[in-house]
Amino acid sequence: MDFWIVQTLNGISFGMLLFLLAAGLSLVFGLMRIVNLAHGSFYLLGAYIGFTVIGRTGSFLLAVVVVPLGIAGLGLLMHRFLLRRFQGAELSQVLLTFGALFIFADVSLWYWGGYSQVLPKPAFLAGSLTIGTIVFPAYRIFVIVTGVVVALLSWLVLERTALGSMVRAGVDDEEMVRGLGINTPRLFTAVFALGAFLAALSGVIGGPFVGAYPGADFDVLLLALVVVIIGGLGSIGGAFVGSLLVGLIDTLGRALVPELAMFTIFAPMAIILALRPRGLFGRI
Amino acid sequence: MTSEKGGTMPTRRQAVTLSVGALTVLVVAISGWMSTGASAQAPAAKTPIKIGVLSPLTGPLAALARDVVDGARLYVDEVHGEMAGRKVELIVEDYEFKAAVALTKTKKLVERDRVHVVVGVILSAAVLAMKDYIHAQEVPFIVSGAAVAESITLEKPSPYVFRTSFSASQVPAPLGKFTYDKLKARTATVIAGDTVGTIELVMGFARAFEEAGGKVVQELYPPIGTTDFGPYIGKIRRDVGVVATLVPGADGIRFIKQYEEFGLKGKIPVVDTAPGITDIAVLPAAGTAAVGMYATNAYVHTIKSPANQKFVQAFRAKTGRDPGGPGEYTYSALAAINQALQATGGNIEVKAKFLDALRKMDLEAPRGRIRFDRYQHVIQDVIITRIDKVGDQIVPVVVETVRGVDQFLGLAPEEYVKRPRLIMLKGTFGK
Amino acid sequence: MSGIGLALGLIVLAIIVRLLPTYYIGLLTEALILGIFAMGLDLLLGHTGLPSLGHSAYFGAAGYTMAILSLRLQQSSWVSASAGLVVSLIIAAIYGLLALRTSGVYFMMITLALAQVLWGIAFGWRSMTGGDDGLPGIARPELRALFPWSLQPPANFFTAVLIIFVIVVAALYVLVRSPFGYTLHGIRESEARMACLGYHVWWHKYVAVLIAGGVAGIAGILFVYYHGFVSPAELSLVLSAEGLLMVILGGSGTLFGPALGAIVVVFLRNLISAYTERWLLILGLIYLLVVLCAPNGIVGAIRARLPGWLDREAEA
Repeated sequence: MDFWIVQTLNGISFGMLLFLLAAGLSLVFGLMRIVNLAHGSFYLLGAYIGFTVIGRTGSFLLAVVVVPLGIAGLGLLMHRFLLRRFQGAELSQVLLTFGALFIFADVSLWYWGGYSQVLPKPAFLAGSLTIGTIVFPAYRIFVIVTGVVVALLSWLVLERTALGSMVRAGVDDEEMVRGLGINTPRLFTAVFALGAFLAALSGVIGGPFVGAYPGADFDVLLLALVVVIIGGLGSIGGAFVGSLLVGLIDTLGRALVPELAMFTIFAPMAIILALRPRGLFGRI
Repeated sequence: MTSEKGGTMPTRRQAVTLSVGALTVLVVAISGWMSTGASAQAPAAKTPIKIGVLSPLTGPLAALARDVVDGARLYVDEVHGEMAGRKVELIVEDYEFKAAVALTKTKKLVERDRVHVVVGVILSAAVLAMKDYIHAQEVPFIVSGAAVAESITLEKPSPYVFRTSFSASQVPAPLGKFTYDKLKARTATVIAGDTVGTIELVMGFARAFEEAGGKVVQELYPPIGTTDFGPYIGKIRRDVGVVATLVPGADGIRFIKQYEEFGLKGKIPVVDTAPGITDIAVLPAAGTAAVGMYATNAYVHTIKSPANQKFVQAFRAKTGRDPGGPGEYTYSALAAINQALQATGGNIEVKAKFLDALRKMDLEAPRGRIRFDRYQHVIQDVIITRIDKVGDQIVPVVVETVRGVDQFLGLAPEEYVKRPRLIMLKGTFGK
Repeated sequence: MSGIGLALGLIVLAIIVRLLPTYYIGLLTEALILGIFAMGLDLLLGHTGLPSLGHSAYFGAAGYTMAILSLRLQQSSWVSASAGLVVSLIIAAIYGLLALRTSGVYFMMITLALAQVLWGIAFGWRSMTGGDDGLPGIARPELRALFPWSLQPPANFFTAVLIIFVIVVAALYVLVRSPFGYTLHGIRESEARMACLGYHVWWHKYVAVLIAGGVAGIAGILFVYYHGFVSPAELSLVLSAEGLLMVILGGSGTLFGPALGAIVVVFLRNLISAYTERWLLILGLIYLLVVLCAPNGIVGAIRARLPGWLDREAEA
């Protein structure tokens, strides 16, 4: 029984981490049809910079607040000066993000060396919770809570604010939104920056879990891709459900049938692709 | 618009495209040829000796990779850049911890840079990918950075391939016995990264542990790059006597920290079947989570011998950190090359003589005396350590030294080679 | 006359190449192989307007099939290589069905995801594929019946690859100028119009996927013979994206463009890394520059400068 509880909690915490990773990609793709191959790079930079910030200042809180804002700024610049002019030329945008991926990867390599780092946890979250016979890391509970909070906030923003309705409308019908006089280029840049923000946030929050290492950008991108395909493009709710599903299937899969480890991530994706290519909750 | 449709091929267009392409290609190639032409295989005497150093400078084992390069550079510094009267040049290449890239970089080192000998490589799979090529090219290759897979030296042995690090049967075996005899564990779970080198190491442990009387009841193989060890830690049987690991590099750091978070530290002892988490390059990042682990090594910087203390001091002075295994193995590899060159009078071009001299290596390395066995792998001492916190440092403390261990577990080589390779044992325990 | 001129040019090329150091012969071989891969991809991208981000799937599938058959099941080169090609066609047949339900960016996403499924299998199914360690020790075939010299020496293998390259180019040339090819161009310009004109759009796209997949499969088999080694990298996103770069760099929708792009990328990648550690950064910058400044690629730039010389052959 303990085994099941622990593994399920594992799955949920991993799923919430995946949600943080994938939410940004889903939004960006859903609204702007940009396949941002540099999405994982935002994670990587967030994790490495977070590592440096925590190392210099000792404050996890500072890292959580400052780093995603910084990377959001980077995303803003990247979209405004590189990607925006190619809106509509999707292939060019993909290739630009691919070039950016290489550049970010090399810059992180240059600055932080090829070292793999695991971010230190804040002291009050470093321990374990013991409930009866179950010992579970406190930090993973924190990740679950954060994931849920971000999901709720996103839902609130999307459903209850003007910005949110613009985004939702843009996902459904971009031409109409433009026709209504809304400055879509600026909206797009804002959403891209938001995507970068979320990715970098997952870098700082996920850093103690997943770590920062050369190649993390690719690994994260692939995970985010799986979630987005399964959950559906353009839907935060879809990303939430998709990431929970993937987190649980992967964790339980590894626990029960370890020979199929990597496969348990891609199998659900393959099934969805075959049966329902728009994903479970795809809006588009 | 479609005026040319269906006619003969327009000559000019095709010719132009082809010429432009061919011209580009030839210009690039010839310019490259010019730049390397000078260093073609000239007769011996005073051309420099080129040593290729292949190391995964980017990737999960980057920290260990630096040791390989620094060990080589330290040796070259100590001999003032000369061996047997010839200058020595190191050419360093990064293979990104990927077997495919190792093959490409080897080709570059051999064909473009014209190196005389290659050292390094941590990933067993990389060596296996390179082996056929380097054998066909007849370039001596001293594996000096872990790369422990048995088949490197025991399967289709090549006269060009040597190893100065350790093998999967050599270093874990004494630990297997130690775990049974001294730690009194009776059952074990093995967990290793899912690649041939690390699998073989825990299999080497498993074999020795069972021969001593213990029983391996569970095997777990998280893929390299696993970030969440929760599922695997959750599977570890709570009644087991010891957990034997080889989870390398960054993965190892995550594993041991998560092991502690899930409350298993102190409840079930962990032993490192080779320097994985306990390699000095990785240990500081693992931190207090690793304290209390036992490990087995071919080299630790805390060995108390005059040769080692001299080596460690020189290494610290040069790099500001303590040397890990790959640093010493590569240092010894260069020393071996030097020893062989002294014997051949500086001649590395006559391969048969150089190889012969290399086989006769007998060195007082920082770790102790090392010689090659007839499969061109080192015979050496094995050191068992315990990770302690000394002051605010995490240090491996030497607990036991086993002298003169070879890769045949004490059997006659012909006997040992007949047994199945360790990789074949994967999945056979715990049934 | 033009054919003879071309043949002579090729023979001269083959001879000159033999004189180069083996390292450069190797790079050229790899460039030609990836050129085949890129030309296959261009059939989809440049000629039909289908942007595939998962083309490595067919490349790697063929390579792995061939490797597994010859290593684990001890099959002869003929059997393994043919099986490899067949498998890449089968995968193309399945993936075509799945991916062609979408278009544009979704097509990109889905092709990417489909290729990742194969990657995941290659990575995870260690016992069959060797996982991340890959499968070493794949020997080059001895095809004495066709080619009386050993394929072991780099120069000989290059010649064999060159011959196959020429055959593929010729085949694509014929295809692109055939009614089928012109229909593909029409589909690229406007599917709706072609449908109205009575063409069966879906079938044309599907056959294009099959052919492109087969061509990629041929390239994959050659690649694995060249290196003697196969690994999940042959199924990776990086390879697919690099293929796209080669096509764009050389000029999409042309015939030789992608091959030129392949030559440039292969040489850049290898030569830059010899001079500086920061080659990844430089490569990334070059990719950005290509997209920003030369959207029609090298061939497009040449056409712009020298009107009438390289007429828009394929873009009727």
